[in-house]
Amino acid sequence: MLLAIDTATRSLSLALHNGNTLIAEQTWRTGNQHNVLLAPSVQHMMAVCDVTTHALTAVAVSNGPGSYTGLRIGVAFAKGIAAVNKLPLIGVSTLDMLAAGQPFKNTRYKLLAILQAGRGRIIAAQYRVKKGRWDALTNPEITTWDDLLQNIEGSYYITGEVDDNGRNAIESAKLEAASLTLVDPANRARRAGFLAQEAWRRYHAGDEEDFSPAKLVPVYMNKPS
Amino acid sequence: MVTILGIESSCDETAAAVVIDGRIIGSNVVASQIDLHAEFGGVFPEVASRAHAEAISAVVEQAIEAAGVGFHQLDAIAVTRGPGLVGSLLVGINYAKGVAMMTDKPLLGINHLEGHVYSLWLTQPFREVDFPVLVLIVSGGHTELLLMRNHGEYERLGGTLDDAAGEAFDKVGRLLDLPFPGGPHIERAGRRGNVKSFDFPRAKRDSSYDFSFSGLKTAVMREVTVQPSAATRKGRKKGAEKHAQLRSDISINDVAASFQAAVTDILVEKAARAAQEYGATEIFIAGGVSANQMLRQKMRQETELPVRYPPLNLCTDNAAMIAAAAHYRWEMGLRTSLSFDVRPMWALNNETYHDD
Amino acid sequence: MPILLEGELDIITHSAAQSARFGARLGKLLQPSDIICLSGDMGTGKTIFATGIGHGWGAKIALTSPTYNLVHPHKHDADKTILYHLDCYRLQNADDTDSIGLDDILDSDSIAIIEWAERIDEALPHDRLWVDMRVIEDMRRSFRFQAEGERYQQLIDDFRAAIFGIK
Repeated sequence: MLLAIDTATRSLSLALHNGNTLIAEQTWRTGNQHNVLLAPSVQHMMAVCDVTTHALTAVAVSNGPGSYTGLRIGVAFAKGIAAVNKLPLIGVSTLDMLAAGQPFKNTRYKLLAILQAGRGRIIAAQYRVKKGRWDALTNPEITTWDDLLQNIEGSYYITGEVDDNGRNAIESAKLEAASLTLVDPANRARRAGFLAQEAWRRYHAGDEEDFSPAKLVPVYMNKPS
Repeated sequence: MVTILGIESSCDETAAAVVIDGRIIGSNVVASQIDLHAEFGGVFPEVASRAHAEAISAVVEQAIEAAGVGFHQLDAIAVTRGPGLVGSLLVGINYAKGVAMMTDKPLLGINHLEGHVYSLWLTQPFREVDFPVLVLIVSGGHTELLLMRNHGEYERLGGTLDDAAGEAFDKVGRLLDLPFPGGPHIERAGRRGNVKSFDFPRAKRDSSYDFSFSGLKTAVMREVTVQPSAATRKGRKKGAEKHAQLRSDISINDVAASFQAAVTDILVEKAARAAQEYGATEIFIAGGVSANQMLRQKMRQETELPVRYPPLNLCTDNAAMIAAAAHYRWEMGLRTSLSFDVRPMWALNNETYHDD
Repeated sequence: MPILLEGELDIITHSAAQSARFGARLGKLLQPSDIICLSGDMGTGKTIFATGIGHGWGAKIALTSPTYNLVHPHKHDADKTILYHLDCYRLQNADDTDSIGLDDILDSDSIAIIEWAERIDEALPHDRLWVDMRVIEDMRRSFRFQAEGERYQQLIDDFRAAIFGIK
């Protein structure tokens, strides 16, 4: 059983996944209440699903980009959980999580995954379909809606944290070489079920990646690599 | 036998320790003192300060291993809840919550200042304490004068109104071009200097038990630096580094000695007076500045009461002291819930654990 | 030459206590999200001025130097608002602001007083009140207030009115 935790921005999302079935998932906006809510919520979710601590075999956490405080809470908690029974800890990019949650109806379309970076800034990365899943085309960059939309060409789905400013920018953008489709709110949400799924895939990919907790490092907001 | 894992990440340091019965140190690991680079090849950032999220796994795992216990053999998990830097505190706290949830062991959120107090209980061989005792905590971030009437019972008598004593050492060290941290280097330079060369002010020489070190710092600066001339001042740009220049004809040793004398004079004078007024049986000095030999020596001269201080490795921030404090809180029945929040401005007094 | 430049204000104080009183006048005028940057050498009285601001604003606990812990979040005595008192003396540069969670602080609607702000200028928003502080001699200090943005122009006007009784 894998426990997945995402506290990278203002939402909080948790999931339990046994490799075959998503046992539980919850996602909600918490503002800045992560520290108070995270541990009791995980405990409660495990209790109602009758999952004991001994049943956990792996932990996954979103390791950024994201807010400094949010990431440190999630990563530290996940590391503490993983330490006790020496479980593997799988870190997944917050933007990869968003991409994983996006169905692709049209493979000609690329995908823009968006996070809020505060004070009008956003973090964005582009994805394209490759071998049946979204594959990162660009590194995450910190930008603004105006700058982002000025420089794109082609057809895009847009997912992730699109606030009213973003919606306005998309609607009013004068695009010559691009067409933009804003994904529905439910599909835009960053959900830990997809974090769990990505983590399972990576864990079983056999790339000899090191999943010891000490190796996991959060990537903060203003320096996406 | 009660075995407690302590975790401390209140500011710059990441630390973990295992303490048995509140007295015996099973292990005591501080991130800046182990080679995380070597052990975790390249993952660890160059600047170790406040890289808690990166360091915490290695530090706790090493503390558990060195103590020869498993996580499931622990009786409780203790972690610094405050005071400190929120982002730093959160790492230790959430790691501890994860461990507590998985082991189903009690979790205790401990006051960092109380940790400093209990560093005294880790002194070997330990001598029983006859309360009340007068406690002076002097570190980079804190200057607190407390009357400890019993385990967990504190009356706050006073503290700094501006800079902490350790901060004054660091800043004067910087003025004198001495390496960081200023404390040990000022002490070394001061040993070769004359304490009477400069008559630096002893601020707050009043009946209160509060301290003020900001004026002293400014007085030292006035003595030892050349004020930038009008010409250089004009050319100065916003955002440019501003540094006063050290006078070339000044004896750094004399300044260090005189500065140290001024700081320790006022600390010792107030601590000794408070001890007498409140009928303390002895005086404890804790925190980074308690390593200062002039402070220790003067305190012994100023009072007939016994004076105690922790061993050198427990003066600065560490997790053994957090586990030691937690032992007594554990005995008193403190159990902190998994939902507990940080307390970045948490004073140590009789109300400290009231809401728990 | 105009004595009072638009968006600027110069004052001189003659004692630490007077600096603190000016601070208190400014503190009374602060609103959520205000950013006050204090810049100046060691010993110019940044912390004393900040302590005054905190007092005027209504901090529950008196402000002391945040040099060591880097950020002191202060609660208001009467309501739930927060004033962050920051000190960048121990930070290397703007990149180091991650480690104090600066973005999270600036994104909140709390007040921020930032000592040694010049060390992290690149990481700060354009709109703010910038205060350059200098030692003139002994206890005399000069303060130059510079407003960046409308809100801070207003704040300087209000502050000027509060201390001189003129707009």
